Formats: sequence, structure tokens, C-alpha cells
Amino acid sequence: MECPIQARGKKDLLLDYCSHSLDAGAMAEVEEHLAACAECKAWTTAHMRTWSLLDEWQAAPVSPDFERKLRERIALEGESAPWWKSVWQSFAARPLKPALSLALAVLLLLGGLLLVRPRSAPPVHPGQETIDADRLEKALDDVDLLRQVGSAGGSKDSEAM
Amino acid sequence: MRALTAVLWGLLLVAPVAAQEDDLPPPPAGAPRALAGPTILDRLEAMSPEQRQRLLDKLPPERRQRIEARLKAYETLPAEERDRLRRQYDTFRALTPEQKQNARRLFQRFIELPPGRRQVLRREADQLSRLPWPRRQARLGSPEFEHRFSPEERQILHALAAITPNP
Amino acid sequence: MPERVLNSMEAVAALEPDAELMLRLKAGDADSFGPLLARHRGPVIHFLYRMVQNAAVAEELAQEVFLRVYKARASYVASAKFTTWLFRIALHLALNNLRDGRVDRESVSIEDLPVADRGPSAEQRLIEAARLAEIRRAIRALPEKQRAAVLMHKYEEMGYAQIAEVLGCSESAVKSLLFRAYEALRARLAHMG
Repeated sequence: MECPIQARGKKDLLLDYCSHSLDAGAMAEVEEHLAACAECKAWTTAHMRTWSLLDEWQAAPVSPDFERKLRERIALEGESAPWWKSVWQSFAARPLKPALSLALAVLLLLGGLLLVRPRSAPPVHPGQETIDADRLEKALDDVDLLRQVGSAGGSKDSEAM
Repeated sequence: MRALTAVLWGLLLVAPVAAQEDDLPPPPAGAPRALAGPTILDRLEAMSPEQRQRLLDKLPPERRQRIEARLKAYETLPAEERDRLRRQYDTFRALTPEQKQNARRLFQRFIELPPGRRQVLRREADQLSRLPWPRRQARLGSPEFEHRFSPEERQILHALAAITPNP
Repeated sequence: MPERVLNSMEAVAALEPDAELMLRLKAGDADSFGPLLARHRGPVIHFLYRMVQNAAVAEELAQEVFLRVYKARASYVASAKFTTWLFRIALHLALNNLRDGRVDRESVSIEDLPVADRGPSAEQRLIEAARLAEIRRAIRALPEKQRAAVLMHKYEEMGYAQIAEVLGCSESAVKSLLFRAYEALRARLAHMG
């Protein structure tokens, strides 16, 4: 067998040997060569040491709520564009006279302000703010759950994954 | 009266899922009530973007990113849905920790029901939510209701009705 | 539909090739997405995790990957291996994330270990944390394409041809990338016993 290090374009043979992706016949051939070639032997020894070091880096397990969150995203985004986008697109598709456009824009703005009325909360003064991250995440969990309960079983249900 | 209401709520929401039909607690006498005052989400919303960012920057990066992504998902919900969720959450947070825990478990069970059955419960919960509390209560306790839904489903509907404010 | 029947349908679906599952999903059989997700979410998340070195971000990116797959179901054509398509999307998102500089890489910090614990196991954990940090730094120091090639080759055990398709280059270019990457890693990690 030609020396993989010396021969052009053959080094991947050693790579495949180290990753155990050669068939039995090719493995035997390489091993025979390694017994006789100090350079290749040194290369494979060093590479396998690097390989086993890389093995120490184990990936963390997938979080248990991965699928739930994905389902939520699919329910929100998987079928159609957000409601505001379809409203915008329906206006953008039709050319309107400038005055009418302006009037509609004002109406939309007023409508938006009426709908998205912020709840009253005490003003937060700079430097005094603190947040309990555990409580916040718990609140987000609970709101998430309520949202799922609200959308599950209705026309927006995208179950059956 | 308030003490009786609290006891009845306690009986309702602490009861185990595997309770037999005879063990099911009676529906509560009082209507769902919300806690006064802003929620933690309201407090965040009331802040300027800079204040909020300053606050979140204090958190470890991974946690901050996670929270930011979830807040973004919440804030991009349609306004109507956010409003509905706020009202439900208001009522939910008025429950005791034990009641909340039980409600969470029942809601999770609801989500896990087969789609067809979930739709049936959803329709029932929607109808219940439109009723004033005394009529809602009467419907929850009716023989027809007991006939149509399993013990666990009735507990789920109790819990759903519990967090839906009066119309 | 009775649960028993659903379970056996899912069992059948779990044995089918990915392309067939995608085509069934395209035809409206939403149940086919579950087995695809179950089969591929681990490799995708792990690949993304090692690319961006942040578990939370990796999962968010992975969700984006599967969301895009789901949204694209109507136009899916079984012209390439499903995993090639999947990893192409994953790589694209990972590279965008890295280039935006938005990712805060997790640090494997000695400060993360409890201060009060002074037993031998704590010292061992310190050593392990330091080793892991070195390995991660070495991977992170690789140019993006080399990094992606190594991660797909070493951890996802993908062949040269498939890696080439994901990276959009020739097989010989992949082999060259891998060699340079492994040489660089060997040099950086040579001092570690």
C-alpha cells in the first residue's frame, strides 16, 4: 500500500482508519502499513489522542420542554403570518389616495392605542429597579400554559405532530 | 363567607386527579377573584426599554437571552390575546400555591387530551366562561354535566372555569 | 382515533425513511412530523450547541430549524438527503448567529463550583472544567467552515460527501478542511495529557 502521508490525496485513509469507518479489509491494509511506517504511526497515534480528547466534550441533554416550545412556535408561526402582517399586506396591496391613506393610518393608530392600553403600574425609578428572575420565568411559564390552554382545542389547534 | 369560599376552593383544587366520582369536591360558592396590583410582567411593561435592558443585563447571559426570547414571544402576541392572558393570569395568581400547582397539572392534562376531546372541553369551557358565576356553578353541578364528562375532565373544567373571570 | 391505533401508526412512521415522512407531512399528515423531530432533534441541537457553545441559544436555533422545515413542507421535494437539508439550515442559522456576535458563550468557570466543597472530587471537577474549557476554546478557534466540518465529521459521524453538500463544496475540499482542522486541534491540545 502507498504511504498515505507521502502519496497525494491519500491522507483521508488515515482519518478513516482513526474514525473506524473503513471496512475490515481496508483496516487490515492500513494496520499492516502502520507497522512499517513510523511517520504514519506517529500521525495516527497523535490523531487518536486528539480524537479521544474531543470525546470528552459531551453535549448536554435536550431540555424536556423543547418540543412543547416548538409546538407553541408552530402554533404561532407555522400556518399564517401574524395578524398585523395580513392587515398591513391587505392595505399595501391596494393603492389608496393619499388623504384616505392618512385617515386610515390615523384610525389604525388610534385603534392600536385603544387596544394596547397599558395597565397601570407604579413608575419605576432608575437605580431602584430589581427583578426576581425566578418569579419572572415562573410567570412566563404560567402565561405560556394559559395561552396553550386557550388555544388548544380551538380552530388554531395545531396538534397532531 | 370568605373562609367558606377559601375552603371550597381548597377542596376543589387540591383534590387528586384520581379521585373517584363520589370524592369530587362541590363547586365553590365564590366567583373567581383577581389579585389587585400589577403582575411582574406589568412591571416590566411599564418600564422604559432602557430601564428594562438595564435590569435584564444584570442576569447571567444565558438566562437573560432565554427571558428576552420569551418576553418577545409574549409581546408579539395579538393585543387581544395578551389582554385575555393578563386577565386570566390575574385570577390564576390569586390562587394559593397548592391550588396553582394543581391547576397547572390539570391544564397540562388538558393540553395532552386527544384533539377531539380537547375541542369538546374547550367549547364547554368557552360556554361556561360566558356565564355569570352562579349560573356557571349550576351548570358545573348539573347531572347532564356529570354525565358528559369523566371525573378528570370535570376537574379540568372546574380549573378552567376557576381562572376565567366573570363576564 | 384510539390511542392504540395511533401508537402503531407512529411505530410504522418511525421506521420510514425521512423523505417519505416529509412527503406524508406535505400531503397533510401532521403526525409524520413527530417521528422526524424525535429522530433528528438531538443531532441538530448537539451540532448547534457545539457551533455556538451556548445550550439555550442552540435550542432556540434548533427550534427555528424545525419550524422552517415545517413551514417548508408544502414545497418539499425529496431531491437531497433530508439530514443534508436539515444541517444546511442549522449551519446557516449558526453562522448568522456567530457573525452577529450575539451569542454569549457559556463559560466553564471554576466559580461555578461550590466554594465550600474542598474535597478531592472538587479538585477533580476543577481539572475537568479546565480541560473542557481548553477543548471548547480549541474548537472555537477554528475558522467557521473547519469548525462545522469537524463537528459534523467527529460528533455527527457524517461522511465526506454529505459534509460537502452541507458546506457547498467538493469532497476533496472537505478532506482538506478536516485535515487542517484536526492538525490545528492537535497542536492546540498537545499539552493535555
